[in-house]
Amino acid sequence: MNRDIWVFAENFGGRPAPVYGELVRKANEMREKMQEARVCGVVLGKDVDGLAAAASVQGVDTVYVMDHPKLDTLDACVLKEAFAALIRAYNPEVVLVGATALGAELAPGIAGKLKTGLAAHCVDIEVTEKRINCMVPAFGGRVISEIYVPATRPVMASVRPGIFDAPEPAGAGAPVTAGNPSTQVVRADSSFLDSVTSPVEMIAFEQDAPSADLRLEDADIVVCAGRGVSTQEDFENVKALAGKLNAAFGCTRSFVDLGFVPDESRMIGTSGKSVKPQLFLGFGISGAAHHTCGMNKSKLVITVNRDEKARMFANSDYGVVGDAGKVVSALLKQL
Amino acid sequence: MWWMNEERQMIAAAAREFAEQEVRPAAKLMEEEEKYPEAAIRKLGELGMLGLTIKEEYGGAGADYVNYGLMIEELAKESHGFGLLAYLASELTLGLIEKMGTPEQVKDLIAKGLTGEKIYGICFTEPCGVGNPMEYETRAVLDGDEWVINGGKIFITNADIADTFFVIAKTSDYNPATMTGLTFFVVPSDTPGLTVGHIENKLGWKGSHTGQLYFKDVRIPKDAIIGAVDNAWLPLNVALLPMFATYGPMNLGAMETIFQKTLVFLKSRVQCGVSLWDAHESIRIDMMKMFLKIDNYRSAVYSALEDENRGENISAKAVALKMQGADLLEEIASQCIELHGGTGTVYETGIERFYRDAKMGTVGCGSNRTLINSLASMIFQ
Amino acid sequence: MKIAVCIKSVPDPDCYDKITLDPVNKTLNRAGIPAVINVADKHAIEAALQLKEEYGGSITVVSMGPPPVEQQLREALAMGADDAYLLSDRKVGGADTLATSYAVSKLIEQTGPYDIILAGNESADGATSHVPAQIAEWMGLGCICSALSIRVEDGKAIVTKKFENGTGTFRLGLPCVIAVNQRINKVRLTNMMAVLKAKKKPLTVFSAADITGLDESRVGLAGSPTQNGELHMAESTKVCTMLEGTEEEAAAMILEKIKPLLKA
Repeated sequence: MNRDIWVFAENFGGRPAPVYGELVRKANEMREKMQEARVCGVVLGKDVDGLAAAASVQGVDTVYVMDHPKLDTLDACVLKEAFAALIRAYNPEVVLVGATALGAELAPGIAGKLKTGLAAHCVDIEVTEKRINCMVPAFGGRVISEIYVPATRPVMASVRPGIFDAPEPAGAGAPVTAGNPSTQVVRADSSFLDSVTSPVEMIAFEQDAPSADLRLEDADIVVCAGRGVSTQEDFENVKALAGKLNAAFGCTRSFVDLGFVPDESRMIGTSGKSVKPQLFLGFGISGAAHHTCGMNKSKLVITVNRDEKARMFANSDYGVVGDAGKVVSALLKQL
Repeated sequence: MWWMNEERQMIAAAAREFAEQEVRPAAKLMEEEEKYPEAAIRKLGELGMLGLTIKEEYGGAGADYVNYGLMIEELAKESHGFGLLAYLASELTLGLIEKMGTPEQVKDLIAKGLTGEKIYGICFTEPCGVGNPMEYETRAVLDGDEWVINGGKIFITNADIADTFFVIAKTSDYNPATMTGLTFFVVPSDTPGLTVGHIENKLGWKGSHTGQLYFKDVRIPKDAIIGAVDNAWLPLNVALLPMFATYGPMNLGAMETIFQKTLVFLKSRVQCGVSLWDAHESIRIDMMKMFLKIDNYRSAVYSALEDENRGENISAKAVALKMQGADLLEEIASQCIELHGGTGTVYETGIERFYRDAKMGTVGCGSNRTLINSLASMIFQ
Repeated sequence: MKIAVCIKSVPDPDCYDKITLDPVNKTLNRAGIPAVINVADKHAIEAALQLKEEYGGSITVVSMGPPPVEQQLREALAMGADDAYLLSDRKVGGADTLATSYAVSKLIEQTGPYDIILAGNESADGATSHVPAQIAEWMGLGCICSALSIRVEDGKAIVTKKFENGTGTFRLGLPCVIAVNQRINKVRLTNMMAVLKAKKKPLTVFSAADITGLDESRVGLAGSPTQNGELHMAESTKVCTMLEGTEEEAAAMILEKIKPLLKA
């Protein structure tokens, strides 16, 4: 048993998913309190030399690779076999998985196979002398529970993208530039997969049309609409404001229920996206825990709501009690 | 509340879900466009919500008037008028048919009503007064294999909507001693000779179409009757009186909505940093008095309905619930409009329509004064 | 087609704002919050109803919890399920997701076999999304989580799932486990006749001893590799400064605050 911290480098079009960099940065913070811990990436797929190279970022000592045609899939059932085999062979102490659409399904499958503990959707991980504590939100984010794994190994944790900080340009998790120490790539024997048949087969994948809208995850400024943005006109104005500020548009679950947006892709909250922009402008948002959980690490939060008792004000740096639609119109005029 | 159990909680929850999803938009249609909420009424049928007072052997859920009341209460919370239309589509028509006819006569009629496939209307009232059968002018005469009906009815709900009407008409001279002379007929609305006249523009129950029907040589088959020839009047009235208990949960739902809205308003309406609720003891007293009256009314409603479950004749209690409930609803709506100030009179606040609907309850299905008189004759020979 | 739906009884999410933490013994105070069927599981029941309408068969709902959970199973029967099983025993209580999924998988095996096992993708209270995938692992079955559509073709389940940049379609051998995303369907209104029939439908309560082959070391606290440490309320560290004035004035003040952050 070693003290290694593994991070899953999920394949996003040949490169590791952005959450990989966030988790590598976190793993490097953790290892300061864990003597002799190495930080290692995990790459699964077919013909993944490029992905392994891209996963060899700063702060990663080793990248373990399992390369096999059967792994060219989003089927978590076969991927968990490969991941579990790697864990059994190399015995890490900690395994971090980004809770992406795939990761959220893969992590519990691996934990189930290895009969080990998995903390879900952690908002923080703390290493103390006694143990590793994972902070897990419950009851819609109202309560934070400390979860730890006393006996079994590895300690597994899933983390939603955007919860931890993205890597600094020259820090852990950032791509390697010339002159930095290189990562060791270890190719594990994948031949056992020849005789593994998954009960699940991916038979098609339809790519989404590329969107011109700024992604919430990347934006420095987020403009978010809640239930108080209740007319089509107000909605159009909020989107126009986002455009003018070069911001990403987001919304709450209550706003999705109003029916102005077709789906939850712009929803911010415990079952939506987590954002940490420099500036978060909230319009007509009440501030229910399941929403604030997804934005409470924003640097500067300004909220407009007609209800002076709205919880959102407690999560904001500046607040305006007033009609959200009118403030948005005024902002558009004054910009 | 001693009448509640887990099954009844599920019944109320299912009705509440329906009320929020279907009755709320239907109420808008009724108030703003005066449209009959046909989709929502038929949906009640599809979801098995019209059979809570009908025997299982006819496809109903088995008669439990408390269950039925709980459902009507939830519907009426969204709209008193919709509650009335749901009542008409269920107990008032289907229950009446069930109590009046032989199994063969009623099976098909009830089955089609239960699913919402057919919408029914009842025709009693004439210009001479609903409680005045002596002077009814609508007559049915047997001609070979057919009855021929001539006459006119007024204030018929669903006049231009129903697929089938149940019409009371004279088949002999009315004998006040035996109360005989009238028969209950089944008349499809597309029968030649049956025409719809003027639809009234009423104070309340918007979206419920109440109008005149003209019968000119309307021919229906000899067996298109429910109950015995000449002997419909007494059995109908005996069957109808307890049914007025349904006004109980209808009024109750409306009162609860008005009270809740007003309570929320009073606590959130802040003037100079204090809510109206906190600032004025008189307001708290007024609201508490209303609360206690509503609580009392609720006990009366469900106690009566459970008495009915146990086989008691609740005619008197039913009329009391209709009468006292209409007055109480009017009182509560009136006070709560005033407590809101100007916004109380505004449609969007959602209270003024209950005020108008309350008045309808004093005359709908028979004016309360007439009912009281019928009741007096019945109880104190 | 035999369909099983795993449901969880959770405190009503509409009341989560009322949850408080006892400052002395650091436990949750959930008194007075009513229990409901987890809303994602209602979508699973709706998916089962649609599968039954399309392919015929029966729907069994299963759950694990203390005796009051019977009421949520009755509600599921009122929604249209045919029969229900509850595993209720102190021994299986206090379980984390691995121990819970083990116990539920044994209940499923005891009452099955089933062709499709459905569940909601996450619960309103714990929201781990672990249990369906772990049930599949215990039972050696295929699994897809967060499914957006399900149909059955030639004895296989065809399931779609949304990923970050597109939609995948998967073919699963039966039996399989599918956790549904809430957007998979709209839960139909409850049929009143079904509510009244619910009390007559079979609901069986099992204790741990009734489950054949239940390995007691894998249930409850003993079978839980994760443990709970301290709880605390999610609190904000921000202190809010209110900007007073009309909407126009407020907009001007907001612009003043954010101008440094706007790109030129």
